[in-house]
Amino acid sequence: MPWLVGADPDTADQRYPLDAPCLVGRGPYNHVVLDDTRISRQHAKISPEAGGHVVQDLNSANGTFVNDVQVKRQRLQANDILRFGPFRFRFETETQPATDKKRSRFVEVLTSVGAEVPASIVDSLPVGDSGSFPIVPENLGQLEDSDRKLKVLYTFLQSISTTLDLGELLGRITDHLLDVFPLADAAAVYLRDATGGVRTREVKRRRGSSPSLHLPAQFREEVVQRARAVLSAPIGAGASPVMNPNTTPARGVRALMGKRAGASGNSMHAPIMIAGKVEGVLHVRGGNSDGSTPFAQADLDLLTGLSGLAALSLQNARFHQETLRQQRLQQDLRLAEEIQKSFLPRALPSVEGIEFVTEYRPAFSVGGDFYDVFWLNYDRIGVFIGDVAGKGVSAALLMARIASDLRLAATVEPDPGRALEHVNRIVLDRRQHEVFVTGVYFTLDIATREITIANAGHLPPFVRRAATGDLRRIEAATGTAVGIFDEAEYPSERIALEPGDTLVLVTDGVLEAVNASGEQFGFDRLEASLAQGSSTARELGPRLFRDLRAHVGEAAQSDDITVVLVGVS
Amino acid sequence: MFRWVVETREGVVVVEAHGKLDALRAPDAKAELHERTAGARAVVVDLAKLELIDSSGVGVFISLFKRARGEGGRVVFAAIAGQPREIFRLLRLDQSLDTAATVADAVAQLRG
Repeated sequence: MPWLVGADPDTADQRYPLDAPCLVGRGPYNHVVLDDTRISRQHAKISPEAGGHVVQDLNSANGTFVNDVQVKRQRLQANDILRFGPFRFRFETETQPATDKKRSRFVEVLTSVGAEVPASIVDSLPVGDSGSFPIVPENLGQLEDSDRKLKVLYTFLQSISTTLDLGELLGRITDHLLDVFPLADAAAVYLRDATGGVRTREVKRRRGSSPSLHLPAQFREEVVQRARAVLSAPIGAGASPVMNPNTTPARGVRALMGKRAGASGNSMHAPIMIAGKVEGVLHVRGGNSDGSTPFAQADLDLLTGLSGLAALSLQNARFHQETLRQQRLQQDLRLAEEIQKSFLPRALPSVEGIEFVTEYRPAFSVGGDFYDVFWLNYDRIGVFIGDVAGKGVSAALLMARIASDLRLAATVEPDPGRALEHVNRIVLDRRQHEVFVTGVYFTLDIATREITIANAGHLPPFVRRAATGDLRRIEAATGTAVGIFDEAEYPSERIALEPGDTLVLVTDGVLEAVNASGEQFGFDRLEASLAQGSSTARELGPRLFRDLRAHVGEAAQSDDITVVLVGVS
Repeated sequence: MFRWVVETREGVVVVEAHGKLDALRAPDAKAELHERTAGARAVVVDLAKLELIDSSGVGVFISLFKRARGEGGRVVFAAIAGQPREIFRLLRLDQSLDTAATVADAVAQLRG
């Protein structure tokens, strides 16, 4: 690629790419800004054409010279010397990177002081959500600039909008920044992390030798808090009159905005705004720290436009990530729900004269409530209802495990109290300190209709006597919740059921179901719901749930609800 | 809102529970409680200012009890009232845990 290279001792480090039309002049919108009264605001233009590069004088007051001959329009040859006023440049046709000597000096400088080269802000502009760049050009120079800028922005958007992968997006953004700014040595994206800090997420270097990039502390306030794009230069570089390390950035910037729009710098930071908030920063750094300042305000303006587009794409990528995460979570939950359901009895025992009605409604997809009804042997059925401390997936996993423990204990220990003691020891052995389980376990003799029941810190079960319809608590045979004390004992009690009686077992989610005004369903409503006339378990169940729903209304279910009814006739 | 207020009285760590301790606050409350009672051989949990507790909240106290017991320490629960008292009664914790009517009684119990 051809370059315009400074040919005077003090401009030898200045290199301008000529891959697109390049404007030379005193005005701030020029690609090459020459701040001297002998230079016209809009002095000359160098543009690539079919047969090679052409320099054209733009009616400047003092003329454009090629090899000391004044020209209006001239095709350029390699190593031609162009002169605008007192400034001389060489037209180079091959990419000639800075000499090794310069490069090594550059590395030395940066590594010796780190990336925190004392720098001052030479220009900054406020950034809105979509960036800000002039839409109505004031003159020909700006028209070309805007045209070029729009092309750059369009290409950038086309490239970055086709990926929703955050990592790839960041890679493309930095790649493009290096394409757009040929004089940049490195480009970086900093993003806000979970803690709110702005950290380096992606860095691309033209050559691999530069030290790492990060957001210098002295620009944090200006770029991140004030959401302003910043053009900066190392102290002592570039247009020194505006560089004052003693002024605070904000004051320096205000002074500058009015006086020197043609400032230049070697580093640019532009905030990435999402929903009115700075969510990151684009950083483009020039190749040299030895005084060259390749970026002008027009470049900062362009970077600001690019940051607006980067913000849009980042937002899309984030939405996409969040959607994927939600979908995965939902899949996990659905799976957990299925697993938990697989632990509930698929079919309830079918016995002449005995009715089982069960209902399980977790507050979330899964919960810590559980029930089980299973054959112990040919004449006895085991029934369990339980509630593990906590809610959600962790509670459900524990409950599933304890359900297996209980089935095992039930086959080893025919006595319900002994079975609960067995489960208690298993749970304690796992040393999960906050885990405990409340539950009621009983066995039902299908021939005698007698139950043997033990309670581990659970809500007492009720017996609904058919004759009266009132509920009687089974208060006896209660021990501490499972999983707390090594020496916990669970006495068992025998209770004979009369024909028409119904055993009612619930978890606390039933009694504590609250309505919108915070009122609990409570024992009285439970009794009232079950008390109406002579009914079978099959009629009582749906009625209880109807009443529960009516009480809760629109209020959100806050706890798992489980009901087991056992009716004998 | 839920918070712990911790002080040491006569060599006994006294932990006051303030507010509502439910599933939402339990994980943080548990972590803080364990941190602030680490290594203590004698702990009194003052429940006078505990407004509400659910099973996850009870889990926080159970975990403290189990840890202390494993380390050969003791925990006394003092001044339990209201809804938390009902929950402790329902779970039969009042029969199995060490309890005291007041913090002073609890401290005396641990020193005695």
